[in-house]
Amino acid sequence: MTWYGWVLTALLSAAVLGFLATLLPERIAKRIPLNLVWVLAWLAIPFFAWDLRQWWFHP
Amino acid sequence: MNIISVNTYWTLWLLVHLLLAVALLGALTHQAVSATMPVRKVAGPGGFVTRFRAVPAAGYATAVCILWVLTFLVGAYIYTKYRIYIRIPLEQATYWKTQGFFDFKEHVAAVCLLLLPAYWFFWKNAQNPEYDAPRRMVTVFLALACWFLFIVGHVLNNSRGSHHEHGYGRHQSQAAHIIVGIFDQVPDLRRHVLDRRSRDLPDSLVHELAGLHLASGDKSFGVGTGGRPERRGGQT
Repeated sequence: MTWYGWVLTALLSAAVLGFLATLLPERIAKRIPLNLVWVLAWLAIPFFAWDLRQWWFHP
Repeated sequence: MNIISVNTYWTLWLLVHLLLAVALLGALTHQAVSATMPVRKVAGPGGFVTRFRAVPAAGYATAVCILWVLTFLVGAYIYTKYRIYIRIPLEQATYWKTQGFFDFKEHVAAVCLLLLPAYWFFWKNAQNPEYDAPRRMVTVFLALACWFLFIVGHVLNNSRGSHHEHGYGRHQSQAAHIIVGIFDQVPDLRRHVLDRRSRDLPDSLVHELAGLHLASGDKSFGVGTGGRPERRGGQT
């Protein structure tokens, strides 16, 4: 759990959120832009680069 | 019952990881090219590029999902070995950017894993034009991520060194030098110690000892107790 903590936490959280999302009424679900799927994935890349800055700028 | 050595065991798992990754890379590349540049009509025999993108892209979706999960699981399994026997020496050798790229690889692989349900849904409903744009973009993202993961994994694997690839680190190819230079000038860590006699080891720097640690499973080199290096092959 120590080594896989980040991945497992994200996996479990996403599974719970995904399940809850399926319970949303269709009129609300229809308002969520589908393109968020790939836009958020792309936005995660610069965030990761920033989050890992300790490695890039290590003295 | 020792049928294979510990090193062989982990090498086999690494090969399984690699083979799964190659299959995944091929499938995703075909699918991404087909999704972004679909062949509308083929008049006569097409060229290589036309045939490359004229694949039934929707048929790859399930295989891609299964391959990604399998590759991820095998990667997670061999990560336990990496975490102890590779990462620690890399940190001791102060290869920070190398370490950063591996963490980056983990993050991207996890994000893509979580994208798979949406990816699968978009491809299973490929007839719905509403899903065209997100399906194309998610596929391209997965394909680019897969190439990134593949290249980073390959280069990081080289940092451990291999007799077949490096010949004791003396004959690295120019291409390998260029790629390694891009990432963090990661050399074959063992080459610092392969030419050392055991009596010189106390003077070795930390990164050289880390290289020795990486080479600990290598039977062609061992530290003798009598001041004489034990090495097959007769190189000095």
